[in-house]
Amino acid sequence: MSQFWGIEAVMENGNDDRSRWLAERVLVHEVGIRAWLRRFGNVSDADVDDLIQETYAILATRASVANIIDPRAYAYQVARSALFQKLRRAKVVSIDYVADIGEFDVPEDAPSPEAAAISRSELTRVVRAIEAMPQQTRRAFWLRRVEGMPQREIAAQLQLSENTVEKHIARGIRQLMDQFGRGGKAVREASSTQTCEPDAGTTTLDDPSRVRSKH
Amino acid sequence: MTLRESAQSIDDAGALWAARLDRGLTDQERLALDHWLGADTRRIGALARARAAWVHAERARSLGALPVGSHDASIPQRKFGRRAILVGGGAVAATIVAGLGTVAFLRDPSQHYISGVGETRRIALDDGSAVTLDTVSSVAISSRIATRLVTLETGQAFFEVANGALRPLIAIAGRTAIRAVRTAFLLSVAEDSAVSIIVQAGRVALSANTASTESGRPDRILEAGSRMDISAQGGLTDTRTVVVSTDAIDRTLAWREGKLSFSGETLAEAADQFARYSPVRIIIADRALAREPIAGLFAVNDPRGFARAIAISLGAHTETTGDNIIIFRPAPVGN
Repeated sequence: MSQFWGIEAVMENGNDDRSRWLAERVLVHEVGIRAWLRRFGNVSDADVDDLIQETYAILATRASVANIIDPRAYAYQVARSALFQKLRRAKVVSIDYVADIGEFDVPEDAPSPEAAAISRSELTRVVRAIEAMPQQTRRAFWLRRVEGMPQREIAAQLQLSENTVEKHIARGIRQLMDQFGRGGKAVREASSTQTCEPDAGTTTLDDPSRVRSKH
Repeated sequence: MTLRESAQSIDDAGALWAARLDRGLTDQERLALDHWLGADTRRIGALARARAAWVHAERARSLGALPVGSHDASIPQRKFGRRAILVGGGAVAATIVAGLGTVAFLRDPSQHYISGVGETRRIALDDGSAVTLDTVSSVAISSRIATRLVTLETGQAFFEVANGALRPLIAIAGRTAIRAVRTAFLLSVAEDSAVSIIVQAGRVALSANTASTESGRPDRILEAGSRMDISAQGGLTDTRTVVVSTDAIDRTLAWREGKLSFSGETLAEAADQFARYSPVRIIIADRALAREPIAGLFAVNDPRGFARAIAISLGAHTETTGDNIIIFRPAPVGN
């Protein structure tokens, strides 16, 4: 139905395969891809944002990903092509800019940790994103994602319109995107430390059972 | 010259469409989405990324998993939610209480505890026993007449079980039940329900987690100074047991004092450990670096300090961008 053949793959709720592939094979490496792109001198943060979106667009609309043996490396290659295209369009003589053409090589992956280790650290990132959400967003997100409550029922539970719940879910997703891509909103707002304040009204700071490490 | 839409605002819209997709689109919305996607390829990418982030967050369900075997015939089954009684708070924990509002139905009489990122929580039980949660971990504790059940739903926890023969503590993780009296052990559960136990003191009895756990003959005994890994699929029929030194056990417990202790683990393994305690990502630029063995005692909440110290010791450099720190060896200056 969509004129963008392949985008259905990420749109259907029933079949999450492509989204799952993107999540497990690309999203987990996004931080590294961004860091790699940024190291080419004339690439700004805004450029990186564009390149990442373009990379996902290409990966999402591929007819099939079954034959991609090394998705991580492939994602880097796609990001690199997108970068070259951008530099060409900007008419920057990029090759001269970079001292060694070898810098454009896709970095080799570190030996991959056990699946369990990846899982734990990914859960950490999800929890961190949840912690960073404003209170009402966090409530809606928690009920939807952790408790599995349908959006309609969340609206009844929290006494909000369905439209508002939808906006909170969107904000929650946005927070996740920031967390996986950049390590949280703090980066964008150019603040170097992130502190998570407990919500007013809950007995937290004095509780001896809690030891919170600050970053 | 028209101003190009910023990637940020495209991401905002992508997230909104992903939220709508989650609840299902109307035909009209499908057309609108199709139209929106058409104007800029970046929008396709933003939507794909938002959907990926949403799917990836499914793992958060493990934070709210109901304890296995929580069905108790004496408690009438209610429709919604679960009342979480929490000692202390923290943003994640506060959400549960707040989200359920004043309309809290009891589904089971468990007390539910969750630790956030980089957080350690020590829960004292009434008989002098204690359960200490590691980062991003959750337990559900319920008291029965003859036993106490502590279900480790996610993460890792250190159990110190006092002399409570009258009411033994049964820890549950995955498909395994661990009966404990006068012992100390570290228990971890992975997302696929693979379980790992390290006994520091005393001994524990392991059984498959069935209704007969409480009084049945245990399948296995694990003594102090041992570690058992239990597979997700096979449960107690598929395990691996090794002897562990006192030093090694102490190292695995260093997080209780806010530290991480390494002795021969690779830099990659160490970076993964730090990743559990903080959103800071240590990225190792090359394979050789990642394999380097490292040793030392480090503060768990200072991944940057760790990265810098390790870099110096390995003749490498670091570069910080936001919440990420990259360790790399500069290319040799040639020609």
